[in-house]
Amino acid sequence: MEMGLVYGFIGAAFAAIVAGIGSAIGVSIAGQAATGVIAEDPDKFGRVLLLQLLPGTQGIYGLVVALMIMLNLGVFAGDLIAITETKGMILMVGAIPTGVVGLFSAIYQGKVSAAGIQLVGRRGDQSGRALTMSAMVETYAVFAVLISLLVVLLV
Amino acid sequence: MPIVLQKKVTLFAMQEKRNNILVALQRYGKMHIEKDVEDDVLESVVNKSETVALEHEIIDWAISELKPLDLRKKPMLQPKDVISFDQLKKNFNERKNTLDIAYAVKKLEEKRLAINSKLIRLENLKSSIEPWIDLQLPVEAIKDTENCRITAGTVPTIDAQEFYSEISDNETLHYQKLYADKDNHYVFLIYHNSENEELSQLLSRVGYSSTNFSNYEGVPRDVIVDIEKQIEEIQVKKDKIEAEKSNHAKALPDMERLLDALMIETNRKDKADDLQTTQYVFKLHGFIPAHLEEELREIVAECAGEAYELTVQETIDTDDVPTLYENRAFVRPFESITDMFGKSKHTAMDPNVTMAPFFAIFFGMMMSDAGYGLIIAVLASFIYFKTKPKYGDGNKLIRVIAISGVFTIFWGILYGGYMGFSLKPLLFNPMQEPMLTLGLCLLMGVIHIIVGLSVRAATLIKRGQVMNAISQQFTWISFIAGLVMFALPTLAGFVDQEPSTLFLVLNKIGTVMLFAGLGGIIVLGGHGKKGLGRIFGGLSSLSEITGYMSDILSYSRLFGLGLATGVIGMVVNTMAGMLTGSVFGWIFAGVVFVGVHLFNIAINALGAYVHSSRLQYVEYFGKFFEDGGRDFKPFKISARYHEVLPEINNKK
Repeated sequence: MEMGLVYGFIGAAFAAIVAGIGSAIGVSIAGQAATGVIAEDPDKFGRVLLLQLLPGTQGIYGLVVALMIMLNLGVFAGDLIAITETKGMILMVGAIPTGVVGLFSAIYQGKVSAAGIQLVGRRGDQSGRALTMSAMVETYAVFAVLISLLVVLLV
Repeated sequence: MPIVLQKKVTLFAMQEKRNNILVALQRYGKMHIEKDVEDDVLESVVNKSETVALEHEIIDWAISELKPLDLRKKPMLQPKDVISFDQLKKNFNERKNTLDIAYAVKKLEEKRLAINSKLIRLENLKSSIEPWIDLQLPVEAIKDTENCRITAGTVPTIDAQEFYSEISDNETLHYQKLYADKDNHYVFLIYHNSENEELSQLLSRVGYSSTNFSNYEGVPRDVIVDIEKQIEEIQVKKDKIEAEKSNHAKALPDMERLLDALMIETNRKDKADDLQTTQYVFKLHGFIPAHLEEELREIVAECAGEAYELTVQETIDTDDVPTLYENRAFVRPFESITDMFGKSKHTAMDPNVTMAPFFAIFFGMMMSDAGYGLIIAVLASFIYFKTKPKYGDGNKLIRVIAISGVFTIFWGILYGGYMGFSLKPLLFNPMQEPMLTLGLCLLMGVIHIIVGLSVRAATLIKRGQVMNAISQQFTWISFIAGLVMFALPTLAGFVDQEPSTLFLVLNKIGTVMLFAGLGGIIVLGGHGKKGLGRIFGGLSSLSEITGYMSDILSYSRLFGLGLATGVIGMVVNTMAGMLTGSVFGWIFAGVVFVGVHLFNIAINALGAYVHSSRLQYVEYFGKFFEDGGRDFKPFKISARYHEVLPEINNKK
């Protein structure tokens, strides 16, 4: 009986850790490009910051899935719910899409964001397009979160 | 709604009326004037006005220089001041005063810079003398005598101990340690010539380097006192200059007016340079919205004098007509979203009308919380109305956000989300009915795509290509819509409900539409192709089905992002709730509640904005958007610090 809970928590931790690492890397890649642009033109801070922020969402998705699993385990209700081992394992597997896709998509999104930041550095009026291009990468993280959440909600 | 119909304008008029006409058109502000220098029918005479450009530059500089000294109290959000064109004209004609102030500021700044570099020089000198302050001799006395070597210099701190122990037993040497810091010891040495050889070896071993005192004379303490006096004097001078400068900050409002006047002037001069001219005649050509033709004729008649020729023609297909959208107040701000993607061809349908409601609806679905929507709508409206110019249009993006906020309230009520709390939903709670919500999101996508296809079909029919519209668009609309209706009873089965008769009827209709569409795609898919292509065309167009499927699945993000917002909001509330209890707990809980909710709003609004844009750009515009249009840029008054009223008689 106890093992179900353990598996569940492993899943929650996995989603938060792996997606979080991805976001940290992605944001730092974009951030390095951003500082370069700001050195040239400090007025672009706002536009560049949004682009830097984008790869940060995967970490939030990881957090959302982790929270959702924890909710299922009754963490916030005060009493842990003793779930079966199978259910625990399913919750754990459910965390994998968000974690793994989050990790890679955040890193690659960071690279696209960095390129977008350089674009904004040269042509300040292009920030909307740069945002959209960066968001294209995030699409797959959103899909992964959707699957994770469906697994967690429907089990 | 079609894009505004334009007419092509060509005007020949007398050279001496050129400025008159351009002023009138600039005030009118609704005509697009083409740059026209390649045309070699007429000889181009370039006469750029340099002085205005120079004046523009100096005023711009002076404003940036005086801005930090501005004492006017300004609220953070404030619309531009309103000023009349004639007032600016007056400012321009009486600009000498303001210009003189700008030149004076420039002189003061040059003086300040010179003084500043002197100050820095003195301060450097002072800090280089300071270690020697205990030296009792005038520095010029530090030179070798007949029998003695006299020197002053530094020894690196790390070697200082070794140095002192080596010389302490030498009786012919006198030394004085004057000062020490973390890098160097400053020492003064006198020793007899006979020790020279041995000592110079020691000195070079410990890294002694003698200091050069050639840049000043006298006893260091006196020199420092003198320098300090000089610094004080300069400081006073500097303060005086700065006071004088900040006194000039009073002229800032004048300067801002003059800058705007100069900007208008420069813009017109630049426009004039774009025109073809001969010695006596110039040619101007461009575009005007068709319904404004009469107004334009009146304006030209008024200011072009006796001799001119104005032709206003219908445009033909080969004309490169710039695109101008004209939409109602609700749709207009969304033009900024479309412009980020590209300008539509002028012959296409206006993409904004159908896009605007979808953008707001999708934004609302992704935020999906009535409380968040209210905050977004109120905040954005507040900023919008605070910064909105009195007569013109305000920031478009802020207005998009405000409208989307209202739609978020709407979806929040449907989903029952209020600041992360789940109340009784009008429709259903996405967390309890995930499959139903997903279905709803995909259904929204289907509707979006069908509307996109319909826009394309309407454009084609308008151009007389009915067959294309049927083979490319109507077949697919029938197929997709049929598929959805066909699948509805299955969807109802998902939520454990007995399919109602309505669903069953829809299912029957859907089946017919599905197969009609499918047949149409196969039979008509090769429309316009010849021979074998006609047969295989139909089959190959069937493969587009995967494209449509992935398009529709892309709308699942509406659910994913909506859920993400909701879950974070819910957890914040639970955590804040766990913190309550003591007084401190309540305060802390309040901080967490407000802080994290605001963060959640900010991050998810960004996500909702970008992803709603993406759904428009890729899934929606992909169905009909005709890229490659050119921006309609009316020649008008544009100013940086003021909202300028053109004040012409026939102003609407």
